[in-house]
Amino acid sequence: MHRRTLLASPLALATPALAQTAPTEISMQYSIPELFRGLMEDVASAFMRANPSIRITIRAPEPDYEAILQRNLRDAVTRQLPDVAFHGLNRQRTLLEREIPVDLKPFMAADPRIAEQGYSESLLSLGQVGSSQTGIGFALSTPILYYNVEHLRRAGGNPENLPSSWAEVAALARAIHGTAENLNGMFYDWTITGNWAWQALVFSHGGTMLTADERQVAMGQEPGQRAIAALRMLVDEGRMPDMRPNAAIADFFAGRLGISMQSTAQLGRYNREIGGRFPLVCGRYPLSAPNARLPAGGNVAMMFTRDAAKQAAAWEFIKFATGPVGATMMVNATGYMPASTIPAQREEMLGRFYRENPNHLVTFRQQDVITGWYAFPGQNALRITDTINDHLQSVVARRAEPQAALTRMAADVQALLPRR
Amino acid sequence: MAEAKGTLGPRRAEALAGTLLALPAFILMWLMLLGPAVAVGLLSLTDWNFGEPQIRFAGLENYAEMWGDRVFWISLRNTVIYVGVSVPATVLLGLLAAIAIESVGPLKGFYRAAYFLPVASTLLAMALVWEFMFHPSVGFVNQVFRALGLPTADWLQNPDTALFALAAIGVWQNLGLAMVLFMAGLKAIPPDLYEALAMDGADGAWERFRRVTWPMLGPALVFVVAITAIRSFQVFDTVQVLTEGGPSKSTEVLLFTMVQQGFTFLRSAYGAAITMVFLLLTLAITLAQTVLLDRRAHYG
Amino acid sequence: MQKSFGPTPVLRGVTLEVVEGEFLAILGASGCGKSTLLRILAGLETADAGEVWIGDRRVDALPPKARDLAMVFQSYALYPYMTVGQNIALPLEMRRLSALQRLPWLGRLWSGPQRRAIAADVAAVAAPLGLAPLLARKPAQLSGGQRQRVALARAMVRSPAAFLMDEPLSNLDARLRAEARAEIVALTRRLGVTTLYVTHDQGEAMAMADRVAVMQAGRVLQLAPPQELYDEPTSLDVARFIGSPPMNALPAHVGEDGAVMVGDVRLPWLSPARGLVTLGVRPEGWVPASQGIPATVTLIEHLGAETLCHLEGGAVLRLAPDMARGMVAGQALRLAVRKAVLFGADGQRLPLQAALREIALG
Repeated sequence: MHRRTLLASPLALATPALAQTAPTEISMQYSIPELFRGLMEDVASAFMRANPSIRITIRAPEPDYEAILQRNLRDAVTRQLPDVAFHGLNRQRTLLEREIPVDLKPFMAADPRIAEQGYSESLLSLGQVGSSQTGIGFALSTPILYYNVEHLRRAGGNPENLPSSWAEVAALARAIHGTAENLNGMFYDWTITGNWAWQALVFSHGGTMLTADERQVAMGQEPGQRAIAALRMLVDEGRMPDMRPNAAIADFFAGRLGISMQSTAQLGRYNREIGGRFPLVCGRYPLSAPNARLPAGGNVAMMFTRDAAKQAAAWEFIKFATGPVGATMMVNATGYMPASTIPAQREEMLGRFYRENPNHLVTFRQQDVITGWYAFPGQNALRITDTINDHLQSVVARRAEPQAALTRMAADVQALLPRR
Repeated sequence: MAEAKGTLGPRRAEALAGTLLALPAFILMWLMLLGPAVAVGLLSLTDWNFGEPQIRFAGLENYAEMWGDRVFWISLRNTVIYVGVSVPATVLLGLLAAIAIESVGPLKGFYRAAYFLPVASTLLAMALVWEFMFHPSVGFVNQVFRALGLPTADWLQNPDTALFALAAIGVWQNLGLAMVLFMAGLKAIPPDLYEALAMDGADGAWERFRRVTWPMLGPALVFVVAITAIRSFQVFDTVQVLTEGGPSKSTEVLLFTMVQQGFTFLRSAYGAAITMVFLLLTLAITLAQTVLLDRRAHYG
Repeated sequence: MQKSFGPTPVLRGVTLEVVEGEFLAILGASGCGKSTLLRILAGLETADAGEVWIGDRRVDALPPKARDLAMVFQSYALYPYMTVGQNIALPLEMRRLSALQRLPWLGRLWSGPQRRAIAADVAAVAAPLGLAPLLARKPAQLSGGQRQRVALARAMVRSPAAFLMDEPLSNLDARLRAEARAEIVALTRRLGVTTLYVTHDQGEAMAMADRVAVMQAGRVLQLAPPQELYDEPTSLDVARFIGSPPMNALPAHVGEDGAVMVGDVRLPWLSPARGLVTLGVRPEGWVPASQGIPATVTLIEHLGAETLCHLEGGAVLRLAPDMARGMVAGQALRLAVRKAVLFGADGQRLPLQAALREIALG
C-alpha cells in the first residue's frame, strides 16, 4: 500500500511535454501470440511513429494467460518485470494481491485529455479490483452462441429469430440432433478457463459467485440452482455430449455440431476455420433474469514499472493501445470488442465494419449487461476454479444430480475461502 | 612405534588428497541434488505463494492441509494404482519381449530398436498419436475392440478407464527400457550354465527359465522394477497432455498435483510439501532396490 | 566324426575308441578341436557327420540328459544362486522327481521321501570331498579349489556312464592344481568310471591318464599310453608336443649307404630312407663325448635334480648335476647320441636300424 502512495507524487511529470526530452524505452509483454502477434507489433510501431521519443521493446509472448501470469510472477521475484503487460481480466486480482500493478486512477485524473479516449464507465469497471484501476480493457469479449445456419434451418429454426432462453436453445439442439446421424445438437463449453462459462450461467440468472463481502458462497442460492439446472437441461433435453471441448469445436467446424457456446474472441477463428463451407450466425447469450449480467473475457493493459519517466511513457502507450486508434486496429484483427466506445460511432473507424459484419456486433450489443470476470479471493483462488470444474464435469457426465452437485460445490468452495 | 609415526604423515596426506579429489563431486552433489532438495524442504515449511513479496514460517501447516486434502489422497491413490498396474505389466512384457527377441536371429537389431523407440521419443508428440488411438469413434483401439466384439469406451474421457488407458501408454513407453535391461541381463548369463543344466537333465524351456534364466536375472529384475517404478511414479506428461487429471480427478497423479498446486494454483509452499512426499516415496523405492540388490549380489 | 563351424573345419575325421573304465586324456593346443569333440560326446553340439556310441547304444541323436554322461566345466558352471547342497542335488532331482514334484514350493508337499533320499546321497558324495560343512554355502563363498570339488561332486552324484572333464584345473593355482590332479585320479580309479579329460597341459595328461590322445588341427595324431607317446612318437608334431623341454629336432640326412648324418658327423644308425630327414633327440638322449656332433653351450640352468644346457641353435641337453659340473657358457662340446627317433620330410616316423646302436654307445 505504501508503495502506491509514494508513486502517486511524481504524476506531474506524466504529461506529453516529457516526450520532447531524451528517448524513453519501455518493455511490453502479451500472450496468445496466435491471436495477437501481428496486432501487437502493428500497434507498437504505430505508437512509435506517433511518439518518436518512446521506444517499445516487445518481449517474447507467452502462450496463454496462465503462462504470462506465471512468467510475470517469476519476473516480480527476480525484479525483471516488463513495464507494460496485457493480462487476463481475472488475473488482475492475483497480481494486485502481490502488489505488482500500478494503480492507473491517478494517471487518469491527472490527464487533461482523458475524455478523448472514450472509455465507458461499464467497460472501465472491468479493469478495477476493489478501489484501484489495475488495468484498462484492451480486448474484451462476452459469451455468445454460434449457430450453423444449415442445421438451424433444417431443424425448423430461423436465423432472424434466434432462441432467447435456454429452453429454446435445448429444444432447437434436440431438433438438430434428430436430423442426421453423427450430428450433435450443441456443446456448451463449460471448461473455459477461470470458470468463465459457469460465471456466465450464474450471472445471467441474476446470481453471483460470493456474497458482496466475499465471506460466503452465493452460487448455491436460487440463481445458481437455476443455472446448474439449465446446464443439465442442455445435457438431458439438448442431448449435449460429454466430450472434450477441442473435439466439439472441431466437430462444429466440420459441420457435425449445430450450436456452440463460445467466447466472441473465437469469432475470427470460427470464420477462418469454417471458410464459408456453411453460413455462420451469432446469437446473444440467453439472459434468464431481469438483473442478468454477463462476465467479460479478454485482457487489460497493466502498468508494472515504478520508474517515473517510464510510467509516463507507459501511460501514453496504454492510452494509445486502448484508445480509438488501437481499438480500431484490434477489432479489425480479432473478434474482441474495445473499451473505447468511439470507433463504433465513427464511420471511418469501425462504423462500417460493424454494419458489414453483424456477427461482430453481437458482443457489442451485450455491453449493457457486462460485468467483471470474477476472481476468487485468497491463496486458493485458482484451486476453487478447479474444484468448480470437477463438479460441473460430474453434472455434464450425469454422474451427479445437479442440485446435489451444486450443494457440494458450494461447500467445497466455502472451505477454500480465506477464513477471516 | 617409530614406523607407525612415520606412516602417519603419508596417511594423512592421502586422506587430504582423497578429500580434495572428492570435493568437486561433493560440491556438485550439494549444488545440483541435495541443495535444491533442502531448499524445497524449507519452502514446504512456509506459507509462500508464487510471486508474493512476503514469506512466513508456517511449520507443518502445509502437511496438515495435505492430510485433510481430498485431492491429495485421490492423487496418491491414483499414483499407487498406476504404478501397481504399469510396473508388473512392463516387467512381464519386457521380459517376454527380451526372451523373444533374443531367440530370433537376423532381425534382432530391428526389433530391439523398434521396442526402444518409445523410450527415446518425446512423449508430447506420441501423446497426440495416443489421443487419436483412444478416440471414441475412429480410434484404433475401439476399432479393434469392435472387431473382436468387445465393449468399447471413450477411454480417456471415462473416469473408470482413463487411468488404465494412461497406464497402458506408460507400459508402451517403458517396455523398451525394461526389454533392453533384460536383454543385457540375459547376455550376462554364462552359456555354460545352460549346458550344465542340460547335462544335469533339464533342457526344457520351462526348466531352463526357472533354473537359470529367472534366478540369474535377479539383479536385472530388481533394477528394472526399481527403474520402472520410479519412472511410473513420475508419470506427468501423458496426464498433462491427454487428461489434465480428469475426468473428475480420475487421473490426478502426484506429480500433476504438485505442478498444478505449485504453478497453476500458485501454491508454491504447498506444492513443495507434495514434492517432499514425492521425494520420500522415490527415496523409499531406491532404498528398497539397494537393499534387495545387496542381498542378491552374492552371485559369483 | 567331423565338425565344422561355418566354413572352418574344427574336427576332420576323428575316430576315438574309449575303453570301459579307463582315464583318457585328450591333449592339444587351444583351437585343436578337443573341447568340441568333448561337447559333441556330451550332446551339447551335434556333429556334421559321424556317430557317437556309448556301450552298444548309438547316442548321437539323443539329448544330453539321455546320454547318461556327467560333465565338469572349465568354469565349473555352478549355479550361483543355489547352495552347494542344491547344486549337487539338482541332477538327482531332475532324474528322480516327477515334473509335479519339481514344482517350486508346492512340489515339496508330495516329494518328502524322495527328497530325503536325495539329501542322503548328496551327503554321501560330499563327505569324502570335504564338502560336508560347506553344503549350506553359496558358490561365491567358496575358494577355487572348493568350487572345483563341488563341480566334481555334482558330476559324481548320479554315477554316470562316463565323466567328461573340460580343463577342470585350469582355473586353479599351481599348488592346488597338483593336489587336485591326484585327487581326481584317485576318485576316478575308486569309482572305476570311464573318464575323458580334455587338457592343453601335457604334464597333466601324462600324469593322470591311462592313455592320451594327442590332437592337432582337428585330427588325433596319436593315441597311446603316456610313456609310449614319450618314447615312440609317431610324428614330429607329437614329439615336439610331448616333453619339457621338447624333443630336439636336428636337421639330418641319410647318405647313399643308409647312414644317418648330422652335418658331416656320421651317426651309428642306418635308415632305409634317403635324403633330408629330421633326427629327434630327447634332451637326455645325448651325452658329451670326445667325438660326435659339435655344439656350443649358450646357457646353463641348474634345476637341482638336473641341469639343462642350452646349445647354440636352440637344442637342449639334460644332464645329471655332477656331470654338468664345471661347464660354462661359451664352452664347445662334442655330443654323442644315445637314443633317437627319425622323421621324414613329411614329419612321419621313419624306422631306424637298431643293430648299430651299441656302436653309438661306444
